[in-house]
Amino acid sequence: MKTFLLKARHFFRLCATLLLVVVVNTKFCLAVPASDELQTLTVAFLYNFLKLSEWPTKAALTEFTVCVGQASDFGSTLETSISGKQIQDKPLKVKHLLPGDDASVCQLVFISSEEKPINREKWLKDIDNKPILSVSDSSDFLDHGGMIMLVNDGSHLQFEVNLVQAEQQGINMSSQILQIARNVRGK
Amino acid sequence: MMSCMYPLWAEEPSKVFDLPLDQLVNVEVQSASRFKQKSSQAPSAVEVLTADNIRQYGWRTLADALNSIRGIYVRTDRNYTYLGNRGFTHSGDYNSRVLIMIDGRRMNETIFDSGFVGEEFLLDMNLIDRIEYIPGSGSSVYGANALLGVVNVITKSGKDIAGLKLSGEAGSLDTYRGRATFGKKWSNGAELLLNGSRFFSHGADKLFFPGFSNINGSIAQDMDIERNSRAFGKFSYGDFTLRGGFVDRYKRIPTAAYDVIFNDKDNYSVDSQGYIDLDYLTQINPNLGLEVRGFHHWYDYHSITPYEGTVWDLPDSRVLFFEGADSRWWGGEAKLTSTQFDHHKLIVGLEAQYDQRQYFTGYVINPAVPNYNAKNDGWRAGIYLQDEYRITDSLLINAGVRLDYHHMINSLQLNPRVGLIWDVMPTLTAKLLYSSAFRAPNILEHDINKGPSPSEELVKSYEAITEWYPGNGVKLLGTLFYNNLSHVIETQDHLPYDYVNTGKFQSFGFEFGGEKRWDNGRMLKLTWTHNSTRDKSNNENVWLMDSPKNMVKFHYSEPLFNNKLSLGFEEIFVDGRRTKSNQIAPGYHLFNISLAMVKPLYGVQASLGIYNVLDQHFKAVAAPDSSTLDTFAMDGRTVRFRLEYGF
Repeated sequence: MKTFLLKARHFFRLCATLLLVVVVNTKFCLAVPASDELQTLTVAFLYNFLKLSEWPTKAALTEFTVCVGQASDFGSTLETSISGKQIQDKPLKVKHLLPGDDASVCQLVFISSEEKPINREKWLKDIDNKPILSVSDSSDFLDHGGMIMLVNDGSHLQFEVNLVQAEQQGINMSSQILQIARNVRGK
Repeated sequence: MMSCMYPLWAEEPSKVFDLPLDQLVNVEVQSASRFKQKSSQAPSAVEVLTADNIRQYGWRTLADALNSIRGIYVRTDRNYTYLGNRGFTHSGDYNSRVLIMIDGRRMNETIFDSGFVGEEFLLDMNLIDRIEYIPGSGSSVYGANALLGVVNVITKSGKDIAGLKLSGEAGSLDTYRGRATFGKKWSNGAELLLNGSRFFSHGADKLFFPGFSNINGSIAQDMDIERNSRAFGKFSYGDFTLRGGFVDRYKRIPTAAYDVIFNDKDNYSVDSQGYIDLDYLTQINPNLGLEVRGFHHWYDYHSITPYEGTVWDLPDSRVLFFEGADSRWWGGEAKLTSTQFDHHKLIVGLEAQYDQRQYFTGYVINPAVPNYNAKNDGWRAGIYLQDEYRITDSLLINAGVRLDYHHMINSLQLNPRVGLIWDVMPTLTAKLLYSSAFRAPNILEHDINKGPSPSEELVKSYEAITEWYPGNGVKLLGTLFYNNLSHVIETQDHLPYDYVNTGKFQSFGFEFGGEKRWDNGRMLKLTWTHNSTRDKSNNENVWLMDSPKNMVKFHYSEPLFNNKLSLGFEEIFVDGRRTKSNQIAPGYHLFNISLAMVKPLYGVQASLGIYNVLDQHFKAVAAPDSSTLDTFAMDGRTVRFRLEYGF
């Protein structure tokens, strides 16, 4: 048993030393800009898009539904950060889409780049000609009839907009979205 | 000076949700952060258990959690806990045919190659974010020991704990656990998680084992004591994560396996395992990810067993036998994940490990009679490549291959995997999989052996899977599987052992599963695994020992009081199993109920679990290492209450 204790002690000493090394080194760090995890940032973007868009069906809605597929796991970020919040005086609700589920019950649908093409096609078809905002992080989303594409340039999250598609489906995006977008198609 | 305007321990909660869009585009993306995807690379039907599930069903150990998964058969010999998969289990062996990982790091030790899942496992359950289980062989990515399945346990991060939490639990059979957990995330992204716990269980005072009627009326008194201590820490900053963990477990052994003296308190084993792992995970560009890690592990084990002197040709009426192992290993791995080429997702990896010390010894203590002594060391290394190629929008091929060098075997191992995945409709997916895997002999089989060392064991697995989503939150699953194990290492004798590659097993079966989730969080899940597993060793063809032909698992959880409480029901049915004397250990039902608070109220969070509600003292099948026992009874109904206070 003695040897185990010795080893345990040795281990903790090693841990402590390593921790100390990390702490000391980072104390002399360079400026750390505001940063956050991709998941959290993505949710923050979705929240902003919801705030800054207009739905023609708004008056008839009792709540705003944000839909996500299974492929991108936001963990609890989505539920804890936006669920229950108010958007344009209506509560926000999160819905998890299974393959085959109808996306036309949503107000915003986020289709991850990890989603199967067959699911993406189905959900884009579900919302075709309906006032539903579509967002994705896949690089060819605008070519496939999507409205907003999130682009990770390696250090920041940017976005591009397909205005033609948005207008066609009756979503009115605020000028702020269009100004900040890296690129707007059909401006 | 701009430096350290954001010092490491700065208190600045994340306000990213309050930021307007024009500022949001200027927030830096933490380069290593990605969406929580299934981190295990597998085309098969991966099972994921979450922290929510752990709470809903009150699982106390990793083994409890794995027991809920279709096709997994969990059994214990009141010393260690073992996993059987889809009908295959090799009674008498350690848990060396399933690979157990923590955050992608291999945890199987290097003496017996065993992966721990009971109280001897390194993590407390509160640290687990999710558990991924990949059924079937996984050597094409993970190398040796991934014969029947891979379990990857992913730990929580500091922000999931957010503060100091003290927890105490008490249960039947004098079982107690105390735990302290601290977690924090600072505004600059630095995250810390620390956890420590102590566990003690007296176990049943009296355990009845048939066949020892000459000693204490066949009753083992106070022989089921178990205790452990655990520590785990994780610190991440930027792209770096440092993890370290330690577990030390003592277990008294009541079964008198290996024909030791029955009801003798000097019969116990102590296992301790620790590791430290530095992980660097970064995105070189949005389409190219790199992970590099270095690790150091150690594992120590010793046991004391009491024998009658005659066993060792000694005049003494009672002698104590010591068996011990001392091992350490270190190494590194590097992995590139690329989505740079259209329609391709490529993974290339390199892994090397130096088994610096593999020392295993056994001797009679007093009078000193040496018995066996094995020392080994050497390298193992593997290189792998996997490509997920989307041929069309509805057709995907997942192909991988891994080449392994292992110092315990003479030849290089090449293990492929091919998976064809066809999305017939958005709601219907069909998969065809083939893969192979190997296991090198462990130090026991390699070095404590009469004859030459046996060669590697092999498995070839074939599987067809259909997944169907008929709507309304329902998921249905059907699988057909065939596993062919050959050159399985077996021994006929004990001391000196005679390990040879004579084992041959074939397993054929199917699974059905159905699952429905409601919007309010209610969940219903039912799975059935049927298999026929034949032992074809030595030109025989018999039903494999301790292999249940049917397993049915039912889970139901209901959120109560506006999701303030969760109520979970778990029912596990395990069919009859053949014993070594060709009797049948009858099938049994294990029914558990758990009631837990979902969120703390005034800082307090409580949970109550009732296990084996039906109080069935069902029979476990004894391994060949016990010549007296054929089966022995498991514990009846137990209760556990847990209280946690968060600061």
